[in-house]
Amino acid sequence: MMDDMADDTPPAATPKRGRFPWRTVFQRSSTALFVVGPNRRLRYANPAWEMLTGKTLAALRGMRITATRSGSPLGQALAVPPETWGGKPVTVRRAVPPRGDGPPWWDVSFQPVMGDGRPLAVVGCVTPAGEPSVRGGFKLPAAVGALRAEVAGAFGFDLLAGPSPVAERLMTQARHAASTAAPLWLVGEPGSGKRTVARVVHHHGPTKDRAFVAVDCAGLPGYLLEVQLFGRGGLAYGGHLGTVYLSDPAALPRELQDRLLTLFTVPRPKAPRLVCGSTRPAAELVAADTLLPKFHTTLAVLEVRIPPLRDRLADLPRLIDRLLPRFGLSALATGTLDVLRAHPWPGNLRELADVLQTAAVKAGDTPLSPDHLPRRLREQLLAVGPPRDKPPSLDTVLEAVERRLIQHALTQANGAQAAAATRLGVPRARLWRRAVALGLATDKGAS
Amino acid sequence: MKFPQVVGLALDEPTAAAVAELAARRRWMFAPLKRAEAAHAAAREPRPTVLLVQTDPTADDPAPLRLVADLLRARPDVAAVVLADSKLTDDDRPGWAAAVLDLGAAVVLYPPVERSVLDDLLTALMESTVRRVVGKRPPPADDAPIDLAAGDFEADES
Repeated sequence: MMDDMADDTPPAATPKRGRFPWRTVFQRSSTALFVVGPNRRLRYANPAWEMLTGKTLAALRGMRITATRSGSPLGQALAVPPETWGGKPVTVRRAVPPRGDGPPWWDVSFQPVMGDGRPLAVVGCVTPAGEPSVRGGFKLPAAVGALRAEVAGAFGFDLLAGPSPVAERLMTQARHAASTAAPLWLVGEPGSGKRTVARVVHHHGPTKDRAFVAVDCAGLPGYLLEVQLFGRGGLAYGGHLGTVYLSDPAALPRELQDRLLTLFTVPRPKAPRLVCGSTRPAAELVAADTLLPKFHTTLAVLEVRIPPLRDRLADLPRLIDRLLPRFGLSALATGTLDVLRAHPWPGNLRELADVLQTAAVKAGDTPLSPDHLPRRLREQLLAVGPPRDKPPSLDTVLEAVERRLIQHALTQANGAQAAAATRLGVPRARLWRRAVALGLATDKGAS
Repeated sequence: MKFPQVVGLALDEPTAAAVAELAARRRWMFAPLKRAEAAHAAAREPRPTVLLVQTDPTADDPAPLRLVADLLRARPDVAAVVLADSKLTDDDRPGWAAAVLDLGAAVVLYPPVERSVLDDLLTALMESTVRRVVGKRPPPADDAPIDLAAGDFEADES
């Protein structure tokens, strides 16, 4: 059949009765159709195809249809995908030749014609995509600007606030980081909120008028990151970047790390700020030979540690209050907070959000009760008991530290009180009084 | 763990077909949707999710990008990929891409998007999303809080 087609001249206008008029169907079709033989050469094309391409079949019959650069631009645009040679119909969008890129575009559908388990030919159908061309004078729609302002407003310092000392420290450090454009290195466990801290710092920092771009270095193919930043019309050009947040930069290939160093270390107007997030400090990653040293020496000027959730359980009620509306919940029932407090939260804030989201589905419109929480969390409470209501008082802590110091000094001095007192820098009599008071010695022992 | 999913909003036919095939091969769920509200509801399901949004950069329709911005706050672990419907000039691309990434997208793509690129990207993003699971448990807490200082004393003696 295909040979017939290839050698055909345009058929008679009226088909013979009793025979399927396939020639006429192809020839009269207003859809551009072509046929590629198994040797990847053009065997047939209909008049609609000739009109679309501006070429004649007579001139191009036998032309190589291949995606390699050795092929003609038209041959590349019509190249049959490998999947189709494997027997699968495929539709792709290709730039109209001779341009290497569109618009305009063609949507090209390829249908294999199989025989004896192998393709005898591929029938192609070309449809102009007809999408509008946007050339110059492009203005960002106003709605996008409004959305950006809304997002910026959602990342205030209050996201980091909490009654715990570590939250207070984090807040102070974040404010300090936002007051400069110095490169920042965030260290924290997975799920502890590094990207949120980076956004908060950006939206209050000197580069807030430009864009915050977060890059998941372990989740993005290196070549795509390279194209996004340094390809044609890449983000590295044009001064739109405000802060680039690299999550786990050590996961990048060294060549790309090197290229990024140039972006962030060569002084130029409107240079973006770099914020990196990792589970380990830059120095450790350099020592492990997974990160170029300059990331540590030049691009980790400020280092902020994001505390794990287990170290800021005092912030739990505040964090939960902020998360509940996100999942359509309004309140916790009695006892729920105790269960949540007893869990060590190895997955940190991400785990907390996941737990609340799953529980919200079970809770529906009712307050979130312990029964809505995962069983492992409830069992945890049974294992460790309810959390202490109060932290130890200062006197308790000081007494314990004093006891530990005196014990240590006595051990080091082999029990000699005078030597221990000298080590601690106190008179012997005072050491003895304190040892008795703390239960480390008895009056009888003193005599 | 629940099955990962790809949520597609307003995808054209070739892209939807390519994603559907990839999703079937990787055993992901694929939800090609037309309405932003439906995509929002699907993307909020508690399962590893990659969102694929196709939009026209010139249109003043904020719905697709609002979805990206909303998910940044509601489900920050959803990786959002934005496909431009029409191609911008090299001069216009950085401004638009920066704005979209600022709203929380992970990647911006321009036509034509080769199937192999889509495969690579979605696979890498999904693997990264799935990897973000609960971490290791911390060591058991010590009952005697003052022992925190023990290491310092030993260091003094060395």
